[in-house]
Amino acid sequence: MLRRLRPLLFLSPTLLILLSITLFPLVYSLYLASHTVILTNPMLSGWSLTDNLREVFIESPEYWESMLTTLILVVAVVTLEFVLGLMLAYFFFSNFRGRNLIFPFFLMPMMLTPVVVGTIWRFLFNGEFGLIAGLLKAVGVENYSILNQPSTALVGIVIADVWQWTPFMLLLLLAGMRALPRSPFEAAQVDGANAFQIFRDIMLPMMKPIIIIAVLMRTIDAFNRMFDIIYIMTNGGPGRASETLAVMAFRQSFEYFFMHQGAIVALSMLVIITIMVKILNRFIAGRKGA
Amino acid sequence: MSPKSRLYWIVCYGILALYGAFTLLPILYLAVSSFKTQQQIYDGIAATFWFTPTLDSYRFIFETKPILQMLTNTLIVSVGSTVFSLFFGTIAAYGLARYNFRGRDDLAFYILSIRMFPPIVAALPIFMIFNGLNLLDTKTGLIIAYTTFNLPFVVWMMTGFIKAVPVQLEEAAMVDGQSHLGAIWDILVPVLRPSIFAVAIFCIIFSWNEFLFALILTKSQAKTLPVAIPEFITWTEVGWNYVAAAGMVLVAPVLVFSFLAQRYMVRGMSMGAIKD
Amino acid sequence: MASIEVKNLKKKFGEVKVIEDFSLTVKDREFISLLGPSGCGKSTILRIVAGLEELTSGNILIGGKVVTPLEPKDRDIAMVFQNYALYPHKTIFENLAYGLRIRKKSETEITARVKEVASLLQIEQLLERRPAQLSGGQQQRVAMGRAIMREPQAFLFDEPLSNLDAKLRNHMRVEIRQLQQRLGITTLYVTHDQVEAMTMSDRIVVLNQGDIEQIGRPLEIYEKPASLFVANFIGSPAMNLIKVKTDAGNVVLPSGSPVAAGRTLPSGEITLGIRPERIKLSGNKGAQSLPYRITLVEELGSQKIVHGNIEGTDLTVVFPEDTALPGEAAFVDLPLNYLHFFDARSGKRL
Repeated sequence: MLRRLRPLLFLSPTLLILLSITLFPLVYSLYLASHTVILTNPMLSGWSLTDNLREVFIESPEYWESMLTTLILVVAVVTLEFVLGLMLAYFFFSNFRGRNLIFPFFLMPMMLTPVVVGTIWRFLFNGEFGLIAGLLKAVGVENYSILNQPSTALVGIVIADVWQWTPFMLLLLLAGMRALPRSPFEAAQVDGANAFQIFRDIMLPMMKPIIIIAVLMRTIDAFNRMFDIIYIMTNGGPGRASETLAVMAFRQSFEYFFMHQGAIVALSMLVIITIMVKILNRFIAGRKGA
Repeated sequence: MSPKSRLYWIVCYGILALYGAFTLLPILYLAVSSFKTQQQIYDGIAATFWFTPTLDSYRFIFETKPILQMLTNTLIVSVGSTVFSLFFGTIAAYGLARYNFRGRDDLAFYILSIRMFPPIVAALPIFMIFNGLNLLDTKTGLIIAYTTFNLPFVVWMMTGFIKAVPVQLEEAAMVDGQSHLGAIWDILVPVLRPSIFAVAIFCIIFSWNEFLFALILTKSQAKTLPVAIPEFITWTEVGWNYVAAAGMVLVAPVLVFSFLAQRYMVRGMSMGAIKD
Repeated sequence: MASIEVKNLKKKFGEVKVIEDFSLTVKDREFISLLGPSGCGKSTILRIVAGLEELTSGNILIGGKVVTPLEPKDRDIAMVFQNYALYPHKTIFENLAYGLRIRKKSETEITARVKEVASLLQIEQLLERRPAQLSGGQQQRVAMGRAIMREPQAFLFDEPLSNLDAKLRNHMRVEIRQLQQRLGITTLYVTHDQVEAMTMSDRIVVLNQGDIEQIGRPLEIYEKPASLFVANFIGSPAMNLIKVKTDAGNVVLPSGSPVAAGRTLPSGEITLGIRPERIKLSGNKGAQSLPYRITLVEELGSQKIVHGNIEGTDLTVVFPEDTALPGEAAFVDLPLNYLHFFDARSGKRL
């Protein structure tokens, strides 16, 4: 009878740790969200959930602007990373000399500290001495930086993120390709399909589960962690042009010290991510059943 | 795969070369800039890769900033959080992998989903709680904070790795005369060693690169190197060579490490998504 | 030197009853097979005897001693697993030595014993290798060697040959049996392969959905199957089973032809069984002969398997290779003393 309790024995330390580092903060977040908590003014307090919600969601457009910025960024980077990653994976799937030698170099960006990646691109885009500015100078454009223009700042961030995370897509999709059974490919070849038809009709459909998982994982991660490189490249600017929800939550809390507003923005992210994680889980569970 | 046409190989090599250049150039740019003087930064595009290298930037940042202390902090926090998460996470993974009990899949999913929650959601309340507990700006505090993403990751990965080892190995050892825990220690742990190694590498890299928690939760004593990077950037951006040097100090160990341990990392990454 | 006794074993997984009420005694030095289709509970029983699985109620005795509450390590048994479960990170020497090392035996004693066992199984040249470098057959031998290292009270085998190819399987079958007889160790052997069970065992336990269908010597089970399930499961090609009606001393085939039963049977529907190798097929019509139409002949080299029917009722016949088959005008005789009768509802032998 003792045996039935054994899994609990193995799991309980971790469960206790996880509960304490997730449940307490969650409850505390709810407390923050429903009161007025201003770091610089500890005198203010009291229940104000409806006021807080109105402030964030209705009285100013900032939340919805940030939501739009976040969506644009997530859709842009995930799409580009998927297309580039799939293309690179396809090339690395074919056999050529030196493949294993160059592959690790293609993976390097995703190992780098995101803050450093942001820094590199900030300087590459620098209008005075950046490498890209240097190239522009050669064609006669002086001191131009896309990060300084509200209309193009997001483009710079997308490039940096794509640079860092396409390798992740490449790695997952390549692993997916290598896990495919060979026989359907051979059958299609015998049936007379050309390389493109094999890719479209055989490889892509068979890779659907891993593609969905890879895209969802990147989507969740881009949504969550679109903070480090923005913080360093633009700090949400110029103006609020690149202020994502994560950056907004941070700035509300630690620049303006309105902890309650920061908490509401963060909790709204939690709700969205929970829905996405649920979808991801359904696909993972579906794969296990298959 | 079928034999490819000449055109295919031209396109393949062409795109790989282009993308390879796109990938490598920024890293090279960081590396060369760190060996320049402030003046050389402005020398124009022709001098980007053609200059007299100097270690002045490195000397400057080590002399004027507590780089060494921040590096030590980063290392201690990374290793500390990794060891802590690996120990408890692997034990929990064993429970999930080897026992079938009601609600197991839901529990596994709950643990995984913690890993996917927005860090900012945890960061705000953790800041307030640590403030009350006097854990702000301590390495202990940062290790606890990093557990929020490392522990679920370890549980998730190790569950898969343990499931891949036939349970009969432990059973054979038990029949051979070993106790349950003895069989785990004698047989399962040595078999899992490469997997544990792979997971540990990832945890260390995640922690090493972490920014948000470190930014919010540390000031000076426990400050890690990633947080120091933005401080080098002044609004005039004149210190690019110093930032580059600090950046190199931060990423070089990871790059060297990841090349040495590449075999394990690719395996670990692929396993995470493609479980059989 | 020990018997294995299983007394009134019950096992539930949650609410699902897997084993209802199972009792069995394996006598000292005896080789008993648990035979049944997958999911019949035979592996569960073995794992409960080993102590790897908990029982819901009942008792296990090894050598007359109750071991029910004991951990596997304290039961003094050895087990060979289907996937061999060799320790991948240890050499073959260390794989064999592990059980003795746990018991803190001296290095000289361990070395001597490993040498002895290795020469017995002819694996001396493999001792320095690791399991991954061995072929399936070699791994199987090492797994056997590990089991006999400690001279345990009992051997437990969990489908040990099912991962080998057919030729090696035949070979290892003989070898395991010889080894068991030489060492005289009580053995419980789980398999779904009737040939293994028939050729190796002193007695066979046929299991179906957690219940014992029959216990007996191999020939007993072949010649007097206690139920329809056993009749169907043992023998290849499978026994012909025909639903018939009884009429006085005869049974009546679906076509209406009567066949002498040679005994009194309860009236109503019953199942008639006859093994394909007991049927006489010829071109001559005898007194009891029935007309037989051949539809397909499988040539096996050593014999022919003939498929056909008696007036629409399918019947398979094994025919010796060296004799010529009758042509269009074929007849079969169903010898009285080889007829089996089963109750149509309960499946029990009549």
